[in-house]
Amino acid sequence: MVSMDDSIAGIIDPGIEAARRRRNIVLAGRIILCVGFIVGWQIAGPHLDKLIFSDPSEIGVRLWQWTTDGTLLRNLYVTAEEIILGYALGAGLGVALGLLMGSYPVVASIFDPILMAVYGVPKIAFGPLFIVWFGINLTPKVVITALVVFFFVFLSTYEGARSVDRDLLRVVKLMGANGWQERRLVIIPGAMPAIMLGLKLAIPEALVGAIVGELIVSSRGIGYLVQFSASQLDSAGVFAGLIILMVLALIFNSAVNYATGKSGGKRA
Amino acid sequence: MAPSAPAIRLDHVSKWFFKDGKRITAVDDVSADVPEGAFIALVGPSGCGKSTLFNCIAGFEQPERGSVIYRGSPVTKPNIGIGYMTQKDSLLPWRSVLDNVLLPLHLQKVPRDEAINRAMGVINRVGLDGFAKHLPSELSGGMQKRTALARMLAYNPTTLLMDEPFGNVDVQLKLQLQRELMKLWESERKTVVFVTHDLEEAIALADRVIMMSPRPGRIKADIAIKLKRPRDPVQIRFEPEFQEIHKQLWSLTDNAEDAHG
Repeated sequence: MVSMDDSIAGIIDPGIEAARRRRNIVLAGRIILCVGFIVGWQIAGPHLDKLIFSDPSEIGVRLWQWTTDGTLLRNLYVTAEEIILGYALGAGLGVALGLLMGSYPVVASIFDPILMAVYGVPKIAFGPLFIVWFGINLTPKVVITALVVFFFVFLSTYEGARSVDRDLLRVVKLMGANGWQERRLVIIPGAMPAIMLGLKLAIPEALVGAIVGELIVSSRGIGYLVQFSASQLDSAGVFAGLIILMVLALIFNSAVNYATGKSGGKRA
Repeated sequence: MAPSAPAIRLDHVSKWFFKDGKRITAVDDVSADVPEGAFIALVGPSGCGKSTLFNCIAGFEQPERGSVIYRGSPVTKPNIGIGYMTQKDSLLPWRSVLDNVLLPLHLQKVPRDEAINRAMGVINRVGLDGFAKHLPSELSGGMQKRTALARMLAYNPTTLLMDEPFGNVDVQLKLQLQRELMKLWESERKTVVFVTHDLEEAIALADRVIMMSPRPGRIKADIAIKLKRPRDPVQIRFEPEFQEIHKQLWSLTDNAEDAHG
C-alpha cells in the first residue's frame, strides 16, 4: 500500500524515495551483520578454546548474572561517577583556558609550549603519578579523565576563539565595548560552535580516561570488571564488560548528538 | 556654517611598515582637514594607503609621524563613537537584525524600551521593515548592507567612516545603496569619510574628492565637487558637469596614460 503522502513525495522528489530505500538497506545490513556474527560465534563456540573466546550465550548469562546480583549497577555507578566528575572538571577548565588564550595572545604565548608538551604525552603515562598523588580511589580516575577531556575541549575552544573574525571585534570596539564585553558579545558566541564540537568529541574520551584509570589500579568500576575477569581467565566476563562499555559509548554519543544537534544548529 | 575646528585633521601623517627588512611607506606626509558635516571621498588605486589612513582615523593604527586630530584631540586609541562600516558587513551572525542594531545602543546603556524604539526606527528607515527578527544569513547581500547601515546610524554618531562599504555588491544594488545613503546624509549632514576606488562613486556622493597616488601614498589632488544638492547619485552621472569633473579627475590617474585604460 502506498499512502497518499508517499506517492506525492515520490512524484515531487524521487530523491526522498531513494534516500528512504537506502536507509532501509543500511538498517537491514546492520541487523544481518550483528545477528550473523553472534550466531556464527555461537555455532563455532564448541570448536574454539573456551578460555580465550567464550561464546555469546555464556556472555549473555554473565551479563544477566551481573544485572541481577547488583554487580553491574554497583560498578556502573563508580565508572559513571568518574566520567561525570572528570568530564565536568576537564570541560570547565578547557573552555575557560581556551577562551582566555583565544582572547589574550600574550597568555597564549606563555602557556602554549607547556600545554603542547603535556598534550604530546599519552595520558596513561600520568596514571602512576596520579596514583602516587591521589591514592587508588576515585580521585586519580577523575583526574585522568579530566586531563583527557581538557585537551579536547581546550584545543577546539582555543581554535574557535582565535578564528573569530577580527573585524567583528573592531566594529564592536568602536561602538564602545570594553574588553569583557568584546569577549561576551563576540568571542564567546563566535567560538560556541567549536566549543560544542569539542564538548561532544570529548565525551567518548571521558569514557576512555575513566577506563584507563581503572585498568591501572582499582577495586570497582567497569574497567575493574574487565581487568578482574581477565585475571580469573574468565573470558565471558571480559566480553561482558566490553559490551557494557560499548553500550555506554553508544548512549553517550547519541545523547551528545541529540543535545548538540539542537544548540549547535542555533548559531548557523 | 560657522568656521570652526575641523572634525578631522590629518597633520603631516606618515605611516610605514617593515616587510622582509625593507621599509615600505604606506602614507607619506598627508595633511588634510575635514570640516564638520562634509562628505569627503578618499580615492585611489589599491596600495595608495587609503585604508591605512582610514585605520588611523578610526584609531586602530597610529601614524609613525604626524598626528590625526579628531574634534580637537589626537586619536591614540580606537575612536569610540564614530560610525564604522567596511566592505565586510561585520554583522554578528548569531544575532537577528534587531539585535545587531540594538548592540551599539546596548553598549551605550540606552534604556531598553527607548533602544528598541530607535532601532526599529532606523530599521524601517533603511527599508528593512518586517525583517527585524531575521538572522543575517537569511537576508540578501543588499539587506545585509542595509542592516550594517542601520546599525551604524542607530546610535547617531556624528562622524561616519566608510571603507568601500558597497565594494562587493552588484552595480544595480550599489547605485540603489548610494541613493539611500545620499538621502540619509542629506537629511542629517554627518561628517563622512568615504573610501573607494570607484571614481564615479566618489564624485556622485562627495563634496570633495581627495585623490591619492600609489606607494608611497600621497595626496595627488584635492578637488571640491560643486554639483547641486540635494543630489541623486544616479541621475547626476548624466549631467555634463559630472562628466566634466570625471574627465578632469580621470586625467589625473595613472590609467590616463593607457589610451583605453
